[in-house]
Amino acid sequence: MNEAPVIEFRRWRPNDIPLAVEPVPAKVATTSSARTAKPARALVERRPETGGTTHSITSGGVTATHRALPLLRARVAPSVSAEPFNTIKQSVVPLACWRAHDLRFEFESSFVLPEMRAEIADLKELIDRHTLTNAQGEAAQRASLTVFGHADPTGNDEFNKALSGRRAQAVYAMLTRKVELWEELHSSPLGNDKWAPRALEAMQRALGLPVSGARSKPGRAALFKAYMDHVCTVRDEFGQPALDAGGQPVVLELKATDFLADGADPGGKGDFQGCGEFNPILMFSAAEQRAFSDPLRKEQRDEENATNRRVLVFLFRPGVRIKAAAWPCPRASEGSAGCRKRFWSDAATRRTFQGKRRTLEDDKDTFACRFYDRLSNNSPCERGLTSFRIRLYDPAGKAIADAPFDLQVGLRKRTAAANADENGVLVANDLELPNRCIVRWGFPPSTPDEKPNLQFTVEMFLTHDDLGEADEARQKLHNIAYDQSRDPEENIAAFQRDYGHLASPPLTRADGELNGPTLELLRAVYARCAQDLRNTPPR
Amino acid sequence: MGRYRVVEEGEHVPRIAAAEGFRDFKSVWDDPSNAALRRTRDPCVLNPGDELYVPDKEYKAVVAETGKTHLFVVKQGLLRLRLVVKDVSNEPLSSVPCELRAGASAPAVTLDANGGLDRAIPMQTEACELTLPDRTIGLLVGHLDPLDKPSGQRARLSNLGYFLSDAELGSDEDKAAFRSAIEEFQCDHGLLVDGKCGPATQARLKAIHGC
Repeated sequence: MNEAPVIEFRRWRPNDIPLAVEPVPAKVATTSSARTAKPARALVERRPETGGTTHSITSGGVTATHRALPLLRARVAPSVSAEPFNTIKQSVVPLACWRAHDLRFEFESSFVLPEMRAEIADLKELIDRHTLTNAQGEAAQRASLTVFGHADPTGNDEFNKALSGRRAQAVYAMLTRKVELWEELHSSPLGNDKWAPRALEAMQRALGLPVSGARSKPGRAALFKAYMDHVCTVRDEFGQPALDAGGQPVVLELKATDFLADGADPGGKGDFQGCGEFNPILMFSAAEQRAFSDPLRKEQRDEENATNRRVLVFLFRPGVRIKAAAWPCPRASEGSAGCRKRFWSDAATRRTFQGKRRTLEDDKDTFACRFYDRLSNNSPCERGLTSFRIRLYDPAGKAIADAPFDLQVGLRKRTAAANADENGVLVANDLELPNRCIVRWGFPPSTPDEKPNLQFTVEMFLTHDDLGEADEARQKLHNIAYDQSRDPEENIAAFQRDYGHLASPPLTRADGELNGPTLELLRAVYARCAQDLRNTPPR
Repeated sequence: MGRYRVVEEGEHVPRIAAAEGFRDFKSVWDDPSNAALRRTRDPCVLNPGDELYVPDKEYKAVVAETGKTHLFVVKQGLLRLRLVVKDVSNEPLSSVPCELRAGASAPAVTLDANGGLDRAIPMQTEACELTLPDRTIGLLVGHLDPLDKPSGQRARLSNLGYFLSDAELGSDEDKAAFRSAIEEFQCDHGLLVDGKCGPATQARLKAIHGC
């Protein structure tokens, strides 16, 4: 463990108190009641209130199985005459879900970033979990799938519908290796969703190929296929392809007939679609929306809205197939008229920014599309993302621009290495805010080929809930580089020496006693670090 | 003198009449005291709480010689179960083999070309099961409430695949699910989408559901 420089932490929310000093609402943490001086190693994953089981959460997505609805019996009337009868129709109910966050796409684009391979591996596991096997134990029938793309409420309806549809198309095409659908996206750019040349170059880089300029159409097709295979190959934590029993790399590749509408419709109706901005998880308050219309706050607005920009895949019972004509959603490439037909009667109210900020979980009225609302009802994948930021410093106390880092949040797998921005700030999005995370970071390598050396490690506390003063002080001191493994009195004394002059009146003693003025000072210093971070313009 | 009997959950006129010892449910149903009920109800779709007038049984006198054997045939009223089964795309399950398990017997039947089933069932049948190739549907015969009651509307919307919530009755989630079901039904059938199950919606629901 090297000397950990100062780290600031705060949870991003517009104009409010940073999480560091904010009392955490009681429902967030259900930690055990036994509190000792030892660091809180037992980490709680909040069970989704929707019921169901979450299988995996990565920095880029989630997979979960929905709560099984109890089988209700059909109430029918008997007949004594020739006329009355009872119609019983089967309904389409998802059994499981997969979500990819906005993070896994190029910003404002449908280009799938190579990091999505983590979520694709989880998707494969989810599909396997819901695959029926025959008497010989071989895979006989897979769950049927459909893909939904979503946009955030910025920009106009038609544009958002188109962009979200393009993302759904990109994911669908990758899963089925339909390179012609990627060619379609490539040759018809939409706004910033322009694949040539950056997306092509990124694909070449990911594959270790020489980065060249424009490629010919057949060349592109080959590149797309290779890249799709690359992202859909399941890898171990060292990045090596996982191998199956026969020594072959484990890949996820699906057929068009594995999807809900059987691949029968040329436009993908029933197999993939975009909801545009009609089904956000988070709706700002009217005041927030007005504040965000300031162009200087675009980055912040985009970051807060990130939770809305997502792609969902729903899995249905194996064997369930729907005729495209019976599916209410319009094609991904079509306009939103078909969507509007399915809006709630009060959709206008739902789509308006109201007095307070609304979320799907708490208010349950953020979705405008009634059909999607029912389909995704109680899906553990449809939850809001919490975003938090950490700034990375060097031992001299200077922020490291473009610092390479990786993050292990709570009990999850370690994320792949990424880079902080030019202010040394990294942003992480997560479905839940667990108690702690482990950050490793270092200096940017001097040459692009060099593997980054993540020489600094720190375990940070992210929430300071229900803690007594001693624990709160210990955790906050730890976060500002007074390592908790050292004697608490020593830490407090060191803190009093280092920061005592900032108190008013200045602290007179550095005796390691957590008295009132010291605790106040600690909170103020912690808040100031957070304030400093907040004042740093994002990207 | 006859008496009024309060209908309970799951009861319908044929079963009540049979329980009261009537051969033909019409002897009960067509009684003048039930005229008001007849105006608004189908004899197989009663509402718990309705009051049905059960007249006294008439005794039929038959003269027969002693010392000889006579044959008396009692014609029991028949109860039928008529269903139409559709898949997720709203297509009928044409000619699909299935099993109708009512009590001890589980005869194998085949749905007709329109996905229809029309079978005589014992008068006492309440809970039974229809087993299709890929799933089993539980049925509660006689538990369908009238259309003007929300419970009846929910049951029909549930049968048609629109209403799928197990939230507590009256809770916000339940109300939202019910409204969603009504609106989806209205949307699918070209009605004004207002989330309220008014007369036009009810009429359509009856036509589509079948009763």
